Amino acid sequence: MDEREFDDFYTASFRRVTAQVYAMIGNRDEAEECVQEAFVKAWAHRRQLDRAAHPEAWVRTTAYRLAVSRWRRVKRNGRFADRAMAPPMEAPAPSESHVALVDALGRLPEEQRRALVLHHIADLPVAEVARETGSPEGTVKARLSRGRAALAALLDDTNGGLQEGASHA
Amino acid sequence: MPDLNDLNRFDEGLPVTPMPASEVRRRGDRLRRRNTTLAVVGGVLAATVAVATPLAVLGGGGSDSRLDPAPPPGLTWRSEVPPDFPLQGGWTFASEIAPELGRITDLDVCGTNPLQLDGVDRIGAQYADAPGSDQGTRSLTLYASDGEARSALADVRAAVEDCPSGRVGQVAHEYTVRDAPLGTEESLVFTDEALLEDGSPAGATIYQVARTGNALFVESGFWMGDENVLADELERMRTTADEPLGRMCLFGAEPCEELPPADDGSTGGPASDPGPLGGPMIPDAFPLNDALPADDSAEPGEEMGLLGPSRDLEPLEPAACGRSVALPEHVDRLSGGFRNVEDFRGRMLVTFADVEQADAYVDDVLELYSDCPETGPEDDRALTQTITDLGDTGDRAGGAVTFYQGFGEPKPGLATVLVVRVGSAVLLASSYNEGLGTPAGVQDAFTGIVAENEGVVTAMQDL
Repeated sequence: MDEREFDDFYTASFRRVTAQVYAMIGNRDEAEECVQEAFVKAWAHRRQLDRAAHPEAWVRTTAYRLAVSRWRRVKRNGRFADRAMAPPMEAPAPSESHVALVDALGRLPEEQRRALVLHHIADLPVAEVARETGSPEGTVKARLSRGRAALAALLDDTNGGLQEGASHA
Repeated sequence: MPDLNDLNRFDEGLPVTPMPASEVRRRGDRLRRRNTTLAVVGGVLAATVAVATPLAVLGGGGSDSRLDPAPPPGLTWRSEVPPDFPLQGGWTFASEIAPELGRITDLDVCGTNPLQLDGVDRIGAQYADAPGSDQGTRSLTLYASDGEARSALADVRAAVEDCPSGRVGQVAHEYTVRDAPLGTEESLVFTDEALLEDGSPAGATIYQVARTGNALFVESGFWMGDENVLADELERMRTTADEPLGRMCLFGAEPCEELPPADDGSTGGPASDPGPLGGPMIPDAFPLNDALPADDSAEPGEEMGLLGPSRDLEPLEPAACGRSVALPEHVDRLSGGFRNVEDFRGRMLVTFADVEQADAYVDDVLELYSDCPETGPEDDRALTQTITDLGDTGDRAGGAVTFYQGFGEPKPGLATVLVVRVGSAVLLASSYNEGLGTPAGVQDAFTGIVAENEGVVTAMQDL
């Protein structure tokens, strides 16, 4: 991957991957930082990226692991208070719709949330979700089914009435 | 308000502020250099400079002197870094010392490395590929005299003071000296904060430079975060480097004593030799059966009582819902346990080549259980509660408790699994007894296995 190819890849996929990681971890600023760092690693490991069948999946997985790693460290070191005191980021706030969806996703078990994000937001087929999460396809289907039902109920609570939603599969 | 359809267009309209692609590549190149060129030039000059010119520590100034006064008689400066110097001490992620890679380039002030003076010996270390945002390098350089080491540190300080800010492409760099003494004869801590055009932070590099006698220690750590987090990170880096900084006294005019050599692997001994794959070997005397019941407390019988510790016992293989997790490729393994009537406890300590492999094994074990919350018919149902992250046990820990029900009522039988990672070592502990799967029983089973294995987890810190 040369500079131009990388720049095109970065420009085309930064927002998309950030949205996916944001939906997974529930913190937009943290998601953006982790995705940014994942792209830095992607360039540093561009030979590895060349061999990856799905470079965007490589970046997404790296960013997600970074976020989980950070979360563990924050939890271990008790840095939540510092985060709360941190100055606000310059980036505009996400829309109400984004916040409401992320809030509802955040109430789901992690595995269900990740499956929903990869399938519905990243638009991956079930087999790809299974590959990326290292889970059997049957497990992924179950997580999607349960996750959709739970999310619909949560959004129903938010909206005051169930709006029949997507059935991506 | 949103509905499920909004999932499919979630990324539309989400505001993001990516840094320029050129800056991403610049930082990637920098990371790549760190990962590939950090090096050692140890011993190259040492053979011809067996003992460098001595110089007693002088009180007061002289921090920028380039010429040494005549050395007092009878004192010598070390000209070789001791092979057991704990340069990697305190690092929890896998790291490496790579002597074949060339000169360390771990200092960068406004685009130049202010350390121009060659030393007589030098070692370097880097995180192999740490998870999270950490990227770290350390080096220790011995100079011909403490005057040269003072001069080298003075060069770094002058570079930072002469260039408080600079610009690389669209990114501004601000260099700030921090008030953070490192406990050595002389030290300098400064940060290189990268700022985008709109003033938003794009990460910081923290440098710790410490001198004692003729030795100069340099550590760089990369960090992405705001000023509040940076303050935390400064403290964390200093604390993490306690071990190498504490041993800088070896290079003073009146050096401290060498630590005793590594023992034969007895309990509580120093770190083990690296295994053939680069990870630690487990000492034969590792206290794997710590806190298990006494051997004679079991019922009579050949297969009762303590098992091991031994490499010959079968490895533990977690299983649930018809799946199991086989032990993957590893560096070393030790197994132990205790067996009594209706009381089976197993322990297995495994070391891997690096933290990522150890983490992958922990992931596999925890996912096995989290994927199998319920199984079996209504009259003999197995339910599993999985704990994916115990905050204060090892570097990472989790586990699972499986209990049994018949038509919704608790039945005897509690199977508990604890998995703990410390560095690249993983402890897998299991327990099965006739406890009941009430909420209190489940809680007690898990807190019990954590407490019972505390000593083993503590001993893992020494691997």
